[in-house]
Amino acid sequence: MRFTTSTRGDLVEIAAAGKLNMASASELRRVVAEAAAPGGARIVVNLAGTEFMDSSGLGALVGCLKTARGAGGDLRIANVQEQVRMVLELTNMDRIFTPYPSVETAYDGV
Amino acid sequence: MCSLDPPASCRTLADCEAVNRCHERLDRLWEAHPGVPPRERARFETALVEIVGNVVRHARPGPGQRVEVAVELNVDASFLEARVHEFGAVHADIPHLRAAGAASPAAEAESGRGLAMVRSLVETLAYAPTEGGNVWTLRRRHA
Repeated sequence: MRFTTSTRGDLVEIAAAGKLNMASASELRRVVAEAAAPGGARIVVNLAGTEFMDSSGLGALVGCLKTARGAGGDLRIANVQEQVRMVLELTNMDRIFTPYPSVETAYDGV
Repeated sequence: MCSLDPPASCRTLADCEAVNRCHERLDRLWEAHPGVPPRERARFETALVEIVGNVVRHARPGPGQRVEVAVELNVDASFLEARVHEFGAVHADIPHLRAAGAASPAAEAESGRGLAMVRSLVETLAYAPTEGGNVWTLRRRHA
């Protein structure tokens, strides 16, 4: 799994490419903690390249959401692929993580 | 039935990399069975990786032992089946295996969703003691 952090206007995009599973979940936590550290960061995890997520990966996303909010910011997800959408729906976590169709629209209307 | 890699040949330490090796095994399985629809592949892979991850995270070694994992895969015209062996592990009571065994985790919980999800993805999910450990069986109709 590869994580790439970049700034898009007032958003911090973290592009996640590969499989978000038990082996890569801790790296996501580290990358998000770094992005959230300055405080108030509006983070978008771009899952366009995330072909697979398991419950460890989902657990890491929940941890990342708490980290971001704890630092006065927020975290959203965009460009969810089919398998990730299935996992979100089966666990009812699509109610916590609304999948946005693009990084740019993840904070629209906020 | 075509069986890929009987367990004796692919026992490995139950660590995080076991999950990635499981993905690689499945890549080869899907290459060998191009007729299995993508949606079925995704559902089976999700269930299987979850079980292997569960072994890595939760299987407890018996006295003086270490936990090793091996995955057996079978595909026939109708079913996908996996047997996940956890060698060297004690047998555990797993409430999440029972339909009413555990409440849904809170939204902010970071674990506890895996087995419930597996139950919704396969028609058979079983966990049984064997000589030298335990075995998980997953089975799902693909056609």
